[in-house]
Amino acid sequence: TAPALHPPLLNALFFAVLKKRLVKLVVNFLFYFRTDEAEPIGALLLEHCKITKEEENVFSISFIEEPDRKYSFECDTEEQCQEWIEALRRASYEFMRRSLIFYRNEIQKMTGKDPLEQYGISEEARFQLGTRKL
Amino acid sequence: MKLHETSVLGYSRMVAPPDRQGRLYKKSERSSSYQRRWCELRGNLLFYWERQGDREPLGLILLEGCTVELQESATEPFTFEISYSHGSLGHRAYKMAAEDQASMEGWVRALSTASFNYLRALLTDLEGQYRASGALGATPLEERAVERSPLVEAVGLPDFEGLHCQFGEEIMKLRARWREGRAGGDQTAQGDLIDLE
Repeated sequence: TAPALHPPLLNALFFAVLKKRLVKLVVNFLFYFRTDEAEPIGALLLEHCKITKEEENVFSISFIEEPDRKYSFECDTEEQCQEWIEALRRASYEFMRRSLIFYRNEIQKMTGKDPLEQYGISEEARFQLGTRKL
Repeated sequence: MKLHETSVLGYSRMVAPPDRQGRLYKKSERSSSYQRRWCELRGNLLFYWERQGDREPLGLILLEGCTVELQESATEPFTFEISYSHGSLGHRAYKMAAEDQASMEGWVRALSTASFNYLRALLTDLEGQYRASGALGATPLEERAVERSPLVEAVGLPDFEGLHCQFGEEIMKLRARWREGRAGGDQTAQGDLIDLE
């Protein structure tokens, strides 16, 4: 279960407003809820984004396409903040894909065998080295 | 619920090519006609546009916890269905038709292995194999190679310095974390029992 975070949505033009929200990380989406409600208010897709440690207890998410806009989140403790940063950085399909390509390549170098062969997916473009650009 | 547009559209517009793309016919929810759509699979998301080259997608389908199956249709050949039967989503299905047998099979294969959870299961398996292989007395040269961030290996860049200059501080943090995680024998795996669909 997700700890409650307080995400003020910072915008350069307006006041920073601190709103208490329940935040849930599900696969590569960050859902946020008003604390009493079952349905999420919204969802952020955690791809092509940057998670940055800000001041104490605070981290921010910004998207490569929108580098000047930061979505800030204040946690209850610094430890919780670090846990969230870790979790969010790994919660990207693209991050996992790059990791998979890395491991595949390393295993192939070390053992001479392609570990994806047993799954019948060796030829898939999405797992090939050198086709992914950052 | 509001889907954050910048993040979703940003992902759909990434420079890297999508995992699969092509024309599919999607059955409309209102009428029961099949409408031609341009589709691009990227990660666990199937985006679709009215036409290839249109800027704004019409919609997207999240491929998580769903079943992708061949489906007989009275009116269309080469049909398949993406269906969900989870509690809060109720039963929901997207009926799609491809242009030929090969396209249908290719799409069904791609969509049924597109989920985040599937990738995570693969990754967990490969991490295990990597640790097992690495433990068998890797030479110092291999150990050094092994310390590099997966980002460096994946793009095949010649050296970390170049990558650092190009991408800045974020890479430094990722790399340090990567090394710490590996040195500590730490779990990057999620730990759930995962079901390969």
